[in-house]
Amino acid sequence: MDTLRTLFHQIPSQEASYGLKGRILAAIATELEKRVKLERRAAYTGMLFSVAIASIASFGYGSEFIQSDFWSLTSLVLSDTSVLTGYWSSVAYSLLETFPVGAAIAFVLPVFLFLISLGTYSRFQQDADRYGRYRIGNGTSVTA
Amino acid sequence: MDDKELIEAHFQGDVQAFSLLLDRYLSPMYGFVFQMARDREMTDDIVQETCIKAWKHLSGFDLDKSFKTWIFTIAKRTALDYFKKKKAIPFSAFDDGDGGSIFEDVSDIREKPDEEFIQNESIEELDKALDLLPEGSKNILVLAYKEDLSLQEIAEVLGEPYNTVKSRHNRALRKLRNIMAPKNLTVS
Repeated sequence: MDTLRTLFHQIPSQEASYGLKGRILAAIATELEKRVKLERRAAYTGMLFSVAIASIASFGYGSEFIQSDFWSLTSLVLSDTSVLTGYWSSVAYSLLETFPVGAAIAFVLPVFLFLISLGTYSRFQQDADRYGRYRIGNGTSVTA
Repeated sequence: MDDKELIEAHFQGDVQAFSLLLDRYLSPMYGFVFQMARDREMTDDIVQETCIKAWKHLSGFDLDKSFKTWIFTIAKRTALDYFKKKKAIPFSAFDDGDGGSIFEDVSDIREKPDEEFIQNESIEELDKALDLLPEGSKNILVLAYKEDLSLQEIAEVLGEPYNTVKSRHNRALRKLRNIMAPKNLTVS
C-alpha cells in the first residue's frame, strides 16, 4: 500500500531543458562581467575625483588655512608645549572656536571618497578574479 | 557538502559551489515552474531569471533557513511577474478555483493527513487528476508531496498565511479524492 507521498514521487518530473544549466552559468558570468566593469569604472572615477577635489581644496583653502587663526594657534602650541601645559583649556577652546570647518570638510571629503574608492577597487579585484575563473572553465559555464 | 557549506564556499570564491547548488535544485525547481507555465520555453526563461536573481541576492540569504524554500519562493514570484508581463496566464489561475479567499477565516486545525490510496495504475491517473485541479491547489499538493516541503515552507513560497495554506491543502486533497473516487481509488 503506497502513501500519497510515494505516488507523488513516482510521477515523472519534467527535466530541465538540455543545456539550460550552461546557459544559466553563462548568464551569471555575463552579469559578473557587467558588475566588474561597473566597479572598475566607479573605483577609478572615485579615485580621480578625490584627487581632483583634494587638489582644488589645497589651492582653494590651502592659503586660507595657513593664514587662519587656527593654524597660528596650532603652530604656537607645537613650537612651545609649555603653552599647552599651562593654558590647555583656553587653548582647547580657542582651537575649537577658530576651527576652519569649511577647509576641514574640503580636505576630509576627498580622503573619505578615496577610501570608498579603494574599497570598491578591492571588490573589483575579487570579482574580476572570480569572473576570470568563470570564463576559464566552470565545468559548464560557457558550453552546455 | 550541505547547502550552507556550499553557500559559504561560494562567498569564499569557490566558483563550483553555485554550480553544485544548481545541480541540486534545478530539476525540482524546473518541475515546479513547469507546473505553472506548461511551456518549455517559458519555463526555461523563468528558471534562468530565477537562478540569476538567486545568485545576485545570495548575500541576503539567511543561512539558517532552507535554501530550497528560498529559491522556490523566488521561482514563484518570478513566474508570476513573467506571466503578468506576458499576460500568458490570468492571475486568477492562482486562486484555488472554488471561490476561496486568502482572507477567509480558517478554523481547520487538522495536521497534514498522510492519506493512503489503494491503487490500480494510480500514478498516471493521479497525474491526470492533478491537471484537473485548479493551479493553486495543484501547487500546494506538488510542493507538499513531491517536493516534501512542510506547510510552513509552502506558506513562505506562496507568500500566504500558514492557516490559509493548511486549509487550502485539505480542500485540495478533498478535491483530488473526489476526482479520483470514480476511478477505483479509495481513501482509507
